[in-house]
Amino acid sequence: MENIKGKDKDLSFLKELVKIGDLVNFDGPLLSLFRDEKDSLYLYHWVDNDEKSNRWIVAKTSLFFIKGYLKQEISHWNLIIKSPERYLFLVDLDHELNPINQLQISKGALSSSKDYLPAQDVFHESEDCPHEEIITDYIYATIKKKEKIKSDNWKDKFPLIKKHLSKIFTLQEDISMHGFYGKNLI
Amino acid sequence: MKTITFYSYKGGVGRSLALANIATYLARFGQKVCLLDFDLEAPGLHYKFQNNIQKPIEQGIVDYIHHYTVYDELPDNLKDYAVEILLKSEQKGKNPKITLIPAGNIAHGEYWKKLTALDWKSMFYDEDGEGLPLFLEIKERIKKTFKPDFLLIDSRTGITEISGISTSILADVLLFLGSNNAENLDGAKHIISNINQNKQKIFGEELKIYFALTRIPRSQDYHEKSLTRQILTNVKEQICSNENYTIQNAEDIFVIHSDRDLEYKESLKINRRYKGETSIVSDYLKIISTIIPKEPIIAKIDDVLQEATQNLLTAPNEVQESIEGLALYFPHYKTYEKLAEVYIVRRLGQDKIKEVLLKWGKLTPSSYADNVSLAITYTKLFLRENIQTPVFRDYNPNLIFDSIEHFNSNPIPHSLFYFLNKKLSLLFLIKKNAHNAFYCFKKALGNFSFNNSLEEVLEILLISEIPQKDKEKFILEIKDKILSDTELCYYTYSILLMSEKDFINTHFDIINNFNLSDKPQIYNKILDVFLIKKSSSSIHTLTILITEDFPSNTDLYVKMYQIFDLNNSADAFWELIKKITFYQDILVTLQQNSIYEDDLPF
Repeated sequence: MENIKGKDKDLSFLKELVKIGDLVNFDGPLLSLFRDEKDSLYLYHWVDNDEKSNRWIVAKTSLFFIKGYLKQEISHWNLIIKSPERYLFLVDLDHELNPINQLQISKGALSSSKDYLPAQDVFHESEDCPHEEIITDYIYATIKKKEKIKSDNWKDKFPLIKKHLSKIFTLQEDISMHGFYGKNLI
Repeated sequence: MKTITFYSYKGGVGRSLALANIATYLARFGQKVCLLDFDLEAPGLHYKFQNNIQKPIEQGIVDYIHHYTVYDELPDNLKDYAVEILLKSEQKGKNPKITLIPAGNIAHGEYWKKLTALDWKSMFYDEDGEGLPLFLEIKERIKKTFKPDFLLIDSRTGITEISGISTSILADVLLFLGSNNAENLDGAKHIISNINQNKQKIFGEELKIYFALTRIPRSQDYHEKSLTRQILTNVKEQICSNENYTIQNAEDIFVIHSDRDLEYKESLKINRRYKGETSIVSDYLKIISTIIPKEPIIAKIDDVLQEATQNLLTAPNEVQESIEGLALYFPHYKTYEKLAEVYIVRRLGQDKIKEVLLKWGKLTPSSYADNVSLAITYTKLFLRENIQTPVFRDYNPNLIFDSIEHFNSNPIPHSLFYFLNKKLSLLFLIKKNAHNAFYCFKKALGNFSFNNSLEEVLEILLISEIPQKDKEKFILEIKDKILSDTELCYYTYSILLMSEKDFINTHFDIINNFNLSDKPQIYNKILDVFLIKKSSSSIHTLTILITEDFPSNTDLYVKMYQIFDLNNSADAFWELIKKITFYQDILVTLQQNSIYEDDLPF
């Protein structure tokens, strides 16, 4: 496996994550979606293996990113590289799913790898996604739930724009994925 | 409220100065303007107004947002975070005001601590981030609190969250400024082609982007002009060929020229007394006229012009340039009227004045009432006493005449033409120049035939001191006009009859040309004049005429008697009357009207 530079990190919180489903499965999971108790989402992106272990890149993600991915608006590559967190995690798990290596790595470190990132033009394919329905239902239900909470909260805090909230949600979703300057900049 | 964001990819292109100047002009145009300094890392908008800000800046938009992040609610009163800019004005109580929401008190360390504590990334990109509703709410609060016509945002440079929200989310209009170098132009091209368009799609509001090339030297000769044209062509090719966004002024991008004066000391160009040659004001005016609807400006054109000309005596160059700019970019007949006035006061050449007057005439509204109003104003411009210039001093009608002549071969509203010539005609009459008076008057009549105006001329003629033979000549020339109208006949007779000479014999042909059916009425009015003036001059002649033409019109005789009686010559009346066969009837009428109570004296 490639030697990726990073910082040792205690990633015990990863054990607490609950799997929602596989976004890509080809003779085994290649991209899986997890959540924590606060509904924060994480992706497990398989990158490598040897006889002892499988190597995964773990990236925090968001409801909007997964929704955009399922709608083929953003690519697999974008899911990882445009993770809302500054750092990614690299974990090597043995066959019993025990961690052998746990590193905090920069996105730059991953970019320099030859094979650890998918091609930039790889998008979601339903036929490779065995849990598409489960994931879609989860994503949309959670977005709806969060929008309800936001809506109640924002109506008090932002009274002058409350009649535009649904449009603002849509715009916020777009900005969180594409930034203010579209896909090519932030 | 229209929101205009001023953005530049790099600093040093004159962005804040352009914003400050345009804001000042808008305020002088009677618009309510609010400024928001979003150049949070290097705020400087307040420096442009430092002599006009009414109180020290204690807090600003950074404090406002910081309060929200700490207390999870926006402060109640946005006014506490704003300061008022009071612009100078000569007009008492009419100082235009601008509201400024500064970045904050940058002299205080607290500002920078608060700024660095703001986590823009989580605000805008986190799933639960509240940056977007927060900034949209702030915009709405500005609208509700200050009710401005225009919100001008000074965006920070580069690619950041704040510049992003300023340019793509908050703006209705984006004015992109850049100077002519690779980093500015590449940055502009990159950003313009990538601005997030989803706001427009979701809210259905189109973002209009304009581009201004700044710090271009004003061309002095052919070579420089050619160079400037080449630069503009190159910039247009680079900036305006975007797949995603169309630059609104792609065919005519704005140019903000460099200004020697500004290189020495940057200050507000529009809001100060300026005594040198200038051009940059005109650049700003062009921007204003393009990106801002003309209607609200035109609606307040009187105030705008009053404001613009207030420093005419102390800063004539600046005033002239302002009015010229206004005339060019907000063409309105009142603007040209004012410009003509400025040119006259500044003793500019006749050609320049004539050119302006011509444009004024062309822009005159078509309704008659407005035309009359304009014509009167126009004429007053020539005739007003307080314009102490060599050209118009002492009402030199010949020079005015030369100016007016210019209009003979140019299309101007008929009413304007008419009034000018008529007024000029009167002026010549007063100046005892009957020949020119007549010439002008004939031109006026060639276009209009308002007999009440003829009356006015005849009235002037009546009291003017021009030689009697000139008066008579004048009357003879407009004889046809006079004969067609009873009122005019009355004046004509009065003029002729009131003269010291006995004219009747000389001009008997005129009288004979009158329509006989009108004569009793004319005689009646003439006699009224004699009565009012208590004059007996020529009454004998008139009496003979009446007795010959209308021997049985007793009403006329009653008045004639009164005139004779007023002049203590009633006996002379009876001497004339007794030649008439039915003088008895006249006596009865006089007695019935209790005017004459005695018997016949003969």
